[in-house]
Amino acid sequence: MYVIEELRHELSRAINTLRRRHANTTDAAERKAIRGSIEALNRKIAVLNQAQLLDAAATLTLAAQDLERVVAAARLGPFDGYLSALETHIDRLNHLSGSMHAQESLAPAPEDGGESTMRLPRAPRRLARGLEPPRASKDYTLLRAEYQAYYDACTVRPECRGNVAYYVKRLRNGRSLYEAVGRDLNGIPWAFIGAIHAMECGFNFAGHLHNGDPLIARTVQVPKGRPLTGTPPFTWRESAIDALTMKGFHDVRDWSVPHMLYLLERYNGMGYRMRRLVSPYLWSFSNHYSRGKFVKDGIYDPHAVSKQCGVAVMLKAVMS
Amino acid sequence: MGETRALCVVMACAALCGCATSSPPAREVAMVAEAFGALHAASQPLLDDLAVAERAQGQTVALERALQARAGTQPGPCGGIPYQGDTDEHGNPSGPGVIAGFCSGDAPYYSPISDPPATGAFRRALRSVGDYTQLLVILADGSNIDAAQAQLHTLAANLGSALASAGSMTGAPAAGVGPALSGLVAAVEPLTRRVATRNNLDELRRVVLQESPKVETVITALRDSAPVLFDTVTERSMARLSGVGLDNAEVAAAEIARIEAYRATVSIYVVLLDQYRELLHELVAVYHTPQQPLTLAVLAQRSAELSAGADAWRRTIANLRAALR
Repeated sequence: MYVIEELRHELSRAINTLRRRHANTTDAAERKAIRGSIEALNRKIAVLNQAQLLDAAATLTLAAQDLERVVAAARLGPFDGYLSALETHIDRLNHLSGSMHAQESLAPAPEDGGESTMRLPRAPRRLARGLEPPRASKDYTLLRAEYQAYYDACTVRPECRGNVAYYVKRLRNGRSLYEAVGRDLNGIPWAFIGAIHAMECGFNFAGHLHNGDPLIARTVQVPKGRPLTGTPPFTWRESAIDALTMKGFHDVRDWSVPHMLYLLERYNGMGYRMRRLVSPYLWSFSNHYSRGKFVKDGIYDPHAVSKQCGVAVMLKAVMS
Repeated sequence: MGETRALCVVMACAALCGCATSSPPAREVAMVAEAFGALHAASQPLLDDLAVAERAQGQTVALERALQARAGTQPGPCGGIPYQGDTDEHGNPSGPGVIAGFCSGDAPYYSPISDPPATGAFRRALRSVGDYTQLLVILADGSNIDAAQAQLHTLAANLGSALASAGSMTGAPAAGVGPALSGLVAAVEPLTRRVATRNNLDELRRVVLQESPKVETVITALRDSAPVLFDTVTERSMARLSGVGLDNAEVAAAEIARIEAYRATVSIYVVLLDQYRELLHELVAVYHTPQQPLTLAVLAQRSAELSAGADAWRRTIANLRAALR
C-alpha cells in the first residue's frame, strides 16, 4: 500500500513538472505533447488508485465481517433455552397424542375370512332413508353412486361435533405440508393426504405416514422396512411420498369424492363391505355408523366403537 | 438549533440520573443510535458519488489495460484483450476506437445496477456498524422480548391443542384441560419478562464491553480509507485540471472548487466517524461508571455534536451537488 502511494505521489509530481513546462513554453507542438503525456500519466494514476481503493475495500470487508459475526452471534432470544425447553415438552405431547391416536387407529379390515369375537350382526344398523347396506363388491363402477349417496346423506353425530372440529383444525394446520407432498405426486389433494395422516398416525409429523413408526428409522411394523431407499432419519415429507407412491396414488387421475372414498376404503381394507357393513374408517362419528370394528387383523368385534373420526366425515367437514 | 437540541438531551439525561441501575441504559443507547442514523444518512450521498467515480476509474483502468495489450498480452485475467483503434505517440487514443473484447471482471464498472466493489465494501462496513447499533437498541428497549413473548403465546396455544387432543383421546373431560393449561400459562407468563429483561441486560453489557473493539476496528478502517476515497472522488477533476484545465482557466477554477468541496465533505465524514467513535467510548464508560451525571452529560453533548455535524455535512454535500449542476 505504501509503495503504491509513493508511486502515485511521484506521478503527481511528474504531472506538476509537466504543467510548469506547459505554462512556460509557447511551442504549440510541445504543449500538445505535454498534454498527451499528462493524459497518459493520469491513466497510470487511475490504475494505482484502483489498486489502493480495492486494498482499502479488502480491509474494510474483513473488519465488517468480524462485526457481522458479532451481531449474528448475539443472543437475541431473551429466554435462552427456556422456549426451546417448552418446545421439547410440546413435541413430546404431540408425540404422545400421536401414540394415543395410533392405539385407537382402526385395524385393517380383511376382505376374506376373518373371525368374530361374537357372531356377526344379522343385519346392519338402520341406515338413512334411501340408502342400501354397502354392496359386497370391489368394482368401483358399481360403487360410485353408493359412495356419493352416503356422502350426500352424511351428517355429524351431535355428540361428535367437537371432535370433528378438532380433526378439521389439525388437518388445516398441516395443509401446507400436505399440499407440498401432493404437488410432488401429480396433484393428490391435500385433504386426502391429511385424512390418511389423521387415520394412520394421528397427525404426528414425527412418524411415518405408513403406520406412525418413528421417522428416525425405517418402519418396523407393516409395511416393514420402508422407505426402501435413503438414509434415516427421514423427513416426514420423504416418508409420505414413499407411502403414497407405494399405494400408487401418484398415478390416480380421478380425484372425485366417490373415487377418493373408494381409495380410502381400500387403504384400510374392504372387509366391512364384503360383510355388507358400514366401514368406520369412512363413516365413524357420522349418522351412518354407531358400532362394530375390526379390533385386530381379522378379528371383528360388533360392540367395539371406533374412536377415530371417519375420513369421509373429515373430508366433508373440511371441504364444506 | 443544534445547541437547543444538545441542551434538551443534556436535560433529559440529567433527569435520568436517579434511575435504578437494574434497567438497561436505553436512553444512552438510543442517543448512539440516533447519532449513527444521522451519520449513515449523511454518508449515502458521498458513497453515491464514490460509486460514480469508482465506475469511471474502473473504465479508465480497463482502457489502460487494453492499450497496453496492443503491445502484447498483459498479466491478469483480461490482459489479452487489446484496444482497437489509433493511438498517438504517448499511447493515448487518437480517434475512434474500442476495447476489442469483454472482460467479466470489469462488469461492476460498466453496470449501473449495483455498487462497484469498493463502494459496496464501504456501504457494508457502515451497515455493519448500523447493525451493531441496532443490536444495542433491541437489547436496550426490549423489543426482542415482545417478539419472544408472542412466540411463547403461540407455543402455549399449540400446547393447548396437544393437551386437548390428549384429553379427547383418553376420554378425560375437556373441562379439566382448560384450567390445567391456564395454570401452566399463568405460572409461566409473569416470569418471562423478568427473565428476558435480565438476559437482555447481561447481553447488552457483554456486547458493549466485549465487542465494541470490533466496531472500533471498522470505524478505524473507514477512517483510514478516507484518503483513497478522496483520491477516487476527485480523480476525474484532477485529470481535467491537469488536462483541459491547462488551457482553460474557467474549467480549472471549476475543478479546483469541486476538489476543495470534496475535501470539506470527506473531512466532515472523518470528523463524524471520530465523533461516533467517541460516543461509543462514552457508552462503554457508562457501563464502567453507571449513573454518573458527568458521564451522561458528556454522552449527551457528544451525541448532539454529532447530529449537528451530520447536518453541516448534508449542507456541504447539497452545495457541492448544486455547484456540479
